[in-house]
Amino acid sequence: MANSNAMCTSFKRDLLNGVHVFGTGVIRASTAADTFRAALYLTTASIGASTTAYSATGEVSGINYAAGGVAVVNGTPPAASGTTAYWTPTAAFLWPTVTLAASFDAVLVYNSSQSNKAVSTHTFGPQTVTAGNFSLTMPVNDGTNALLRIS
Amino acid sequence: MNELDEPLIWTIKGNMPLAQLRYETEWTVTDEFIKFVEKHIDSSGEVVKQSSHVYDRVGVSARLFSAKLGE
Repeated sequence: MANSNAMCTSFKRDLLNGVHVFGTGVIRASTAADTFRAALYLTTASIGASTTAYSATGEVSGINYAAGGVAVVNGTPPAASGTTAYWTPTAAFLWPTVTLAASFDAVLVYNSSQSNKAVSTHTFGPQTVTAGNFSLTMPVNDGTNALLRIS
Repeated sequence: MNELDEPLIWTIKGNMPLAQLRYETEWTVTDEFIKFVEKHIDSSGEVVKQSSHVYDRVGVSARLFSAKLGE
């Protein structure tokens, strides 16, 4: 088997686990996983690749919706398949019995353990909710569909 | 039959008899997500309850590149 030019798959998974630090790192209280949260954003907001941290600007508001969103259930550590490292929350994001009258279409996943730094944004088309539930079910946790993939 | 025998559902106007509401559903299917919206509508045409359920079919990906040296 010949040598090849590659970014090591283990390195991609290690990035998701916070193993390598090329710049200035952060002081961690323990080796435990960080806590992540998910917040909903109005169609008039502009979250995306340039988002650096959670902000209440453009976030939805309404009955039974708490600013900052909901906790992300992180029960499965990052994994790798082929040359792709990936991670997916282990439960749906759920906002029960809410009234969100203004149209919203996006969710921001962010790290509440690290100054609310942004992780990813996901859109799902505009909607409102009236005295009802909003749920966001996660994709299959594999190298092709996972919520976060580094290939 | 007393009032407790009639199924009620929580709406923006409080508990309302389920039988008096019209029920509508709506599906949106794309490559990225599948969305199911269910609405309960009263006799005046007002949506008094609406839920939305989204299945995120595929997340987001980033691609890393390592430089080829000597080229």
